[in-house]
Amino acid sequence: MNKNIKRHSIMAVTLLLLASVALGACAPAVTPTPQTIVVTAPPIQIEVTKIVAGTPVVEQVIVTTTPEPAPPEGEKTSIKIGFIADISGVGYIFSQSQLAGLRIALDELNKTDADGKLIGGGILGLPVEYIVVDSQLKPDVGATLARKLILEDKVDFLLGPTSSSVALAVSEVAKENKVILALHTSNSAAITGAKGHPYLVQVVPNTTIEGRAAAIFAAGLPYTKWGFIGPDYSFGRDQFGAFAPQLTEANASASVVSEQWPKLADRELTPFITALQSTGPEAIYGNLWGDQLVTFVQQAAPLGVFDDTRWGRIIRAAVANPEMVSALGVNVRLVFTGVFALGCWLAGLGGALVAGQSAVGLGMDVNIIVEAFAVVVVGGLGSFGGALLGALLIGVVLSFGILFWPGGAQLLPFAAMAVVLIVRPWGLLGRPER
Amino acid sequence: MQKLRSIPTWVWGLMVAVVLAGLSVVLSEFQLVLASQMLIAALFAMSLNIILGFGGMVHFGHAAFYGLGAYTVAILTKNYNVPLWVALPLAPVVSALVGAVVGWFCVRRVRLYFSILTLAFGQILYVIVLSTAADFTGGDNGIHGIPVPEIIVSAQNYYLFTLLVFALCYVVLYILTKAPFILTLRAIRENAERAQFIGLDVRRHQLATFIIGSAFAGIAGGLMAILNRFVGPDMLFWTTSSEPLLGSLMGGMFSLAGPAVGAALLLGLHLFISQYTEFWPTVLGILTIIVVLVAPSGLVGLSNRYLGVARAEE
Repeated sequence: MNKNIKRHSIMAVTLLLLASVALGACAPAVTPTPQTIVVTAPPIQIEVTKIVAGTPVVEQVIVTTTPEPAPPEGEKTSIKIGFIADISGVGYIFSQSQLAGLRIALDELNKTDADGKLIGGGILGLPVEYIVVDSQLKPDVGATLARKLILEDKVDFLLGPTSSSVALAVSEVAKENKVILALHTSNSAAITGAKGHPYLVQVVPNTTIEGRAAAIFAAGLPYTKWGFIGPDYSFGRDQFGAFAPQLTEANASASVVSEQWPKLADRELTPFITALQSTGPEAIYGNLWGDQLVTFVQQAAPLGVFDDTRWGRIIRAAVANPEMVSALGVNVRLVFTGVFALGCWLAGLGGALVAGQSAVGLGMDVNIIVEAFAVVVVGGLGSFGGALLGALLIGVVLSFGILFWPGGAQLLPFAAMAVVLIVRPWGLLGRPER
Repeated sequence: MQKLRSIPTWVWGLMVAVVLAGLSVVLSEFQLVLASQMLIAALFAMSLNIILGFGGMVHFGHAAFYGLGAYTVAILTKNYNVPLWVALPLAPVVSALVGAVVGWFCVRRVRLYFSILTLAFGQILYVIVLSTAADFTGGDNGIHGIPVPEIIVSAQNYYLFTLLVFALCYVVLYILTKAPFILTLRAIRENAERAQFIGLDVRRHQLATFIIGSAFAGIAGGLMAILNRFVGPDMLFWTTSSEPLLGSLMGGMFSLAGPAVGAALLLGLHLFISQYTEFWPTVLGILTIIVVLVAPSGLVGLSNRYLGVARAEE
């Protein structure tokens, strides 16, 4: 879920159009940091309490477990997992889906029959307990909590946080104490790369993979001036570090004209957005995530970052990924029908204009459609200027052809069309597809 | 149903062939000419469907290769007095050679770009025949009075001759569809990228398909030239490509027999409906919309579904 949101968000900002719809929809889900979270799941109950004491606000997490029958000495009766979650701060949305996922999995693993016998399988045949703590996106807090979980609560495994910075700190503790740490979200390349060790399990693609993949996708888009905005910490830095060189490698004419690095906790992004705009990028790549991405979209929209017409954005998005756009609540069929109707209307207009200078007959379509194809292909599919240029070119070529080479004149538009398709399939003014 | 299915395919084929041959005794002369046309249209549609259905490449310039076959037969027999028995086998050779050149370029593009490129090449060949090489091809008038050997002059004999050629082509194509080649082609059609990753030479397979389709279109064109005793540039025009395209759509693109049935049926329907109304294109349009919306796998797909026959290709 979390990865989806993040990857989705990267694409959204890249395209400059999905985001507003997607995150506009997400926005109401943002809630302030909770004072108390009560996690209930058999067989143990956990309370995470935030205590506010004086100023500045100091947060402390107390974990209490319900009393259970004392296990016989030296015999394991359960597997204990310690989950270091980034609950407060911009990671709130993510932490909630992570917790829900954990609960669903454990409900299955800990399933018991009427006699209380474990039928879900557990881990190694033992029921699974878990403890949740809040690392508040702070590496030092994460490291301390990890130590506490290992040494005091005697957990068997650690589940990692959302933030890569916290993950790096926790990872050190795991390595030192030889406790296996599983990471599900944080994916800075350094975690498994430079700082990797045998007590680490990573289940998501790392920032190098993500950054490069995004760059290859971006290089295929018809934009060369890219702006960038991302959170100033290891994830944001690492992913952009993979993105930037790959972008220029995949598309030599593309470059990043502006980089903006707000802090992860920043909620006032307007100065960064105006700085970004001042360099006039054609597209913006961003790896902001969670609440910060929502904030970005909310603050960028009134500044005109997403100013194409809404219809244009929806149409282009629907062509690129109809399933996604449809999932966002756009009636894709209606959009395409509208585009089709608009095209038909323009064709009708063209027909009405030609009626003044030539006889009207049933066979008109057969020739004009092939010529129209030739014009659009030569000019470049998806480019209005290209269609104009293509029409001019084909018309002139045809006229001169008839003058100088009557036998072959009809050939020229098709020959031009074939040559363009072979040599430069995106046409004179079009942009390469991918 | 189980019993029916246990009969081997070749027995079915033989039965159909015998019935079709038997028609030569039953039908009137005009009906036999029509039946010959249907067989040719069926062969033309099958040749397109090798590229369209099995290869997954939407081809808008197929008529050019049909026309090339026809012109090969016409020019060789009329202008150079080459016997028909030599000229007809040369028709697919010419079509295949030109198909190899055109295909070499076309398979380098995919989807829409492939389609438009085939359209461009088809139109280039059309214009060459129409005007650029008019002295050679007779231009807009075409070539009339193709000499036909005595033995196939009668409608009955010509029908049987066409049937023989059709049957031979059908058998060859049938064997081809059962060969690993077509399985590979299907893999490419479903996911060219993945096919490439497992080491298949995608373009070579597509080019081979293109050439095979072109060759069979050449045979169909040659047969048509003999039947009509005349050829015209319209045989190469891109709208002629729509006939086998619609036939394939009606019959079902994912089987060998589907396009043949569809094309033959369309031709028959055309003639039948033209007796009552001059609005055949309207009827054709409505029919096409219905088939595309209701039975996208065509009549063969529909009948297979209702007869419970295992779907051959989907």
